[in-house]
Amino acid sequence: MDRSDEHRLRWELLRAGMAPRRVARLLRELSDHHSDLRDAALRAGHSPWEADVLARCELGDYEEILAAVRERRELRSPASRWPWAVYGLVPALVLTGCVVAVVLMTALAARSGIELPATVRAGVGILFGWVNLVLPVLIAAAVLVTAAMRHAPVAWPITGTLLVIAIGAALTIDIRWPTVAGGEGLLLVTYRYGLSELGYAMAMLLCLILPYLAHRRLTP
Amino acid sequence: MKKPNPPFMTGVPELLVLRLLAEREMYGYEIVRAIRLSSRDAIVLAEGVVYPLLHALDAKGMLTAKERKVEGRNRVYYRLSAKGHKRLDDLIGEWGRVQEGVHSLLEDPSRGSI
Repeated sequence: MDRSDEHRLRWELLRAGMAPRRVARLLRELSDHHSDLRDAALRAGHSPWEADVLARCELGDYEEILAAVRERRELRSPASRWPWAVYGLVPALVLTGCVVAVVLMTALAARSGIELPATVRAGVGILFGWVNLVLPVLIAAAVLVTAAMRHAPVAWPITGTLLVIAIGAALTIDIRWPTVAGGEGLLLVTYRYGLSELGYAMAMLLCLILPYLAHRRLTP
Repeated sequence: MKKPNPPFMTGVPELLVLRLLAEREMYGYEIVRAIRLSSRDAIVLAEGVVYPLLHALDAKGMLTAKERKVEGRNRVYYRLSAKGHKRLDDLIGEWGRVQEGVHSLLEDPSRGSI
């Protein structure tokens, strides 16, 4: 296998649904095997050029290796076997799960009756801001980067990202601390689409999905 | 250079690989050499094809893989797991039955006439 074959094999293996880590290991093994075959041919008295050709012939062409990978379903990654779940469902569940976890933790802390110091309150405020604004972007970006690295078909990553945007843009958590000691505070979870939420959703669409689609268009 | 064996070899490489790894841990190149040597060149695999098989057995938990740097090269050493030993026993049993059947037919094909 020469360099272009290796590059093509990497791409085809990813398209066939093999996990990137496994692809990298397989290519390393093939490359080392080629070197072993070449060394053996050199020791047998062949010229470097002949040794290289012999090594390539014995290793087999990349089509044979690819066919052997394709006929083994167990070599396909979970993302390739269940793309609807990995790209479509899991990101939305992760986002919702994070929101629920943060709300529950805050509610439990509030119910414990312990007076929280100002620094902790500020920290909770930052955490809420992070969950509202940054987390959806991170999750959506992770979906698209993973899909791009694996050369996955675009349908499910786009669906998953749209779902994350739909939830992330409209779902807001907010807290109003009690103004007096022992007084009542307010923990707000809202899901609504106003102008600012629509703007945020559009910004996410432009900053995430468009570069992803452009990347997919540029790579074969 | 010998040509790889034809399609009726389906399933045989798995048996051979498991049997070799039951003896000791090996990496891909060693496995292919060992198959050629042990079978006196009767069984020749397209060498690159052994890796998808090794990865598949690894994914199914029949082998464990450990990467080690040896003489500047990253060798992935494969070893048979308990599940692999069980699979090997099953395959040896199946192979024995097939071998017996083929041998019986080759010896006396008239035994099969109605």
